[in-house]
Amino acid sequence: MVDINNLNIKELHKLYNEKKVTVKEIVDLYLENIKTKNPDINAYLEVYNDIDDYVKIAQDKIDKGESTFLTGVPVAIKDNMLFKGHTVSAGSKMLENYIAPYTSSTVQSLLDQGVVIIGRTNMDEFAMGSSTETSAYGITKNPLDTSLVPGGSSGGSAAAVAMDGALISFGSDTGGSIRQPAAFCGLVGLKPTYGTVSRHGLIAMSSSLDQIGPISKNVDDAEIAFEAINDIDTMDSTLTSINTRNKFKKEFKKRIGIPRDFIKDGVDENIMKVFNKTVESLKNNGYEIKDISLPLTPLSLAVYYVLMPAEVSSNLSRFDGIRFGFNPKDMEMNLNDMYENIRTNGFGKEVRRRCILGSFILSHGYYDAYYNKAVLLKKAITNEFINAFNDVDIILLPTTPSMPFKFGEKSDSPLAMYLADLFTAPGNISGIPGISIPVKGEDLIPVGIQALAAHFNEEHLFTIGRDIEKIK
Amino acid sequence: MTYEEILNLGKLVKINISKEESDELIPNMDSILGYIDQIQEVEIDTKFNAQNSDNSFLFEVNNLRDDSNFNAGDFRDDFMSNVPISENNLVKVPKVLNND
Repeated sequence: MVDINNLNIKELHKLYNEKKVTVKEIVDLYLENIKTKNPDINAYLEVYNDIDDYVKIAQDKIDKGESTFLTGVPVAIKDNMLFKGHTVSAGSKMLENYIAPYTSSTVQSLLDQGVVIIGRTNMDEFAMGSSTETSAYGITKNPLDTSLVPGGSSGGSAAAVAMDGALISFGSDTGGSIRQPAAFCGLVGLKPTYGTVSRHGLIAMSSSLDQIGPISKNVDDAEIAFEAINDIDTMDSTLTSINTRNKFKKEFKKRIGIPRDFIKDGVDENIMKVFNKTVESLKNNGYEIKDISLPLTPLSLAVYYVLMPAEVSSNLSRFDGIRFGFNPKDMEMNLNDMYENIRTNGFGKEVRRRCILGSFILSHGYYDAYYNKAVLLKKAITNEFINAFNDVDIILLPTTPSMPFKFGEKSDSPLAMYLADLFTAPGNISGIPGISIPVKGEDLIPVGIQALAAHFNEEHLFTIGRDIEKIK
Repeated sequence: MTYEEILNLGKLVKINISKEESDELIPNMDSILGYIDQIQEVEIDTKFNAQNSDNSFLFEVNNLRDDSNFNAGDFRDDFMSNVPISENNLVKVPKVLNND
């Protein structure tokens, strides 16, 4: 019997190749777990009914000796990634009946490797939230402590891995939506460099910031998953060529920068304790530690709350219920009333709020002060990071300012919820890659330690990630 | 922000905001905008031009692909598969103009 709680991709690959276990046996173990745990946790919105087809494809690949690391790996995908013929709802009533008419590039890359996609996972509606509480399909509970939120917006993807409902999962990160739930559920979460993973077939929230990435139990699995999806794709015009990516690869010199000014206030005591312990251990492990100054970077979240709602109000204008999506089919209304009826009732409260906010930010008289200023700051913050990475290889900071919270605790104050992304938003604003690694403290729930690296230097994150994993 | 302003913004994005929702939304918007306003307090060199740096591609990537050759109707079935109201394989909408 395989202990799926302690399984990793390379071990599973070995077990398959040595014929010690079949894909069906492994997938059945996960399905059994989902049957027991999902009614309470609600990580999965749907377990697909065509799993057997993909189990067979994977087993054939293995039997023919054509398997790769991901062949036969049970995978969960966030409910905003299109998989042809399957419902994809983005956690919204607006898309409750939407069947994907094509397959997203990321899902296709995974299918090409022979993964078994178990199902789609719960998320904040259109990825707007940090707790998975804004989903139209109920909350998801944190498998480590079911009285706490799993984080968000990829809360279902994190919970699916944490409850052993999949070996790895995929989420999307616009302001922290992979790294923050990974931190809350004691997992590894990677937000790759903007422009390395195709967004074709990802339901857009904020197109200039969205990026798909993996959630896993360890750094090795995250690396394998990232390598499988970071291909070039002509369907996403914002992807950077492999040549350019290679040009920006740097040598790793074990130099860590810590932006002390940024993290000195408002961070949970327990988190700072574990963070300082981590820094100390890395120092003992031969890393050079430097204090660095990033004066503009703390403005990233404010910049994020200008650019993101502006893009949200534009991107979500496509949801009109005419070509697809929620439509009560009241033909007595005129067209404008029908639009308003569909959008008012199809979108939840947080989505309505961000559409209104975006509409305000882009309106005449405010556009210059908000949007144009934010665009300038985005460039200046990006430059600040580029310069910082001339002197250090890694910037280290906590993933979140606070530990996982109770349900409803931040629902009355949107701003309090938004601040959960304080340390993750800079990675999206500047486009650099970031990874959250769990480090055990005194609490039951580990603390997420975040490492950031220069554009296209994900390898540096995997290297330091493995060193952080060794800390006891 | 006033109720009238919220209603107007709602019209622009085609979302109806009830008086009740607006009572909650106004203080929310004020606190969010208050937070965002910190970007007004920093001076940024408006001549800042990232395009001059070696890293310019990081700021503006837009790789266009060649047009593909498709025939009219190639994707009709896929496209129509999700249409909520259709007739004779056409998308149906309520009347747009009033006769009166």
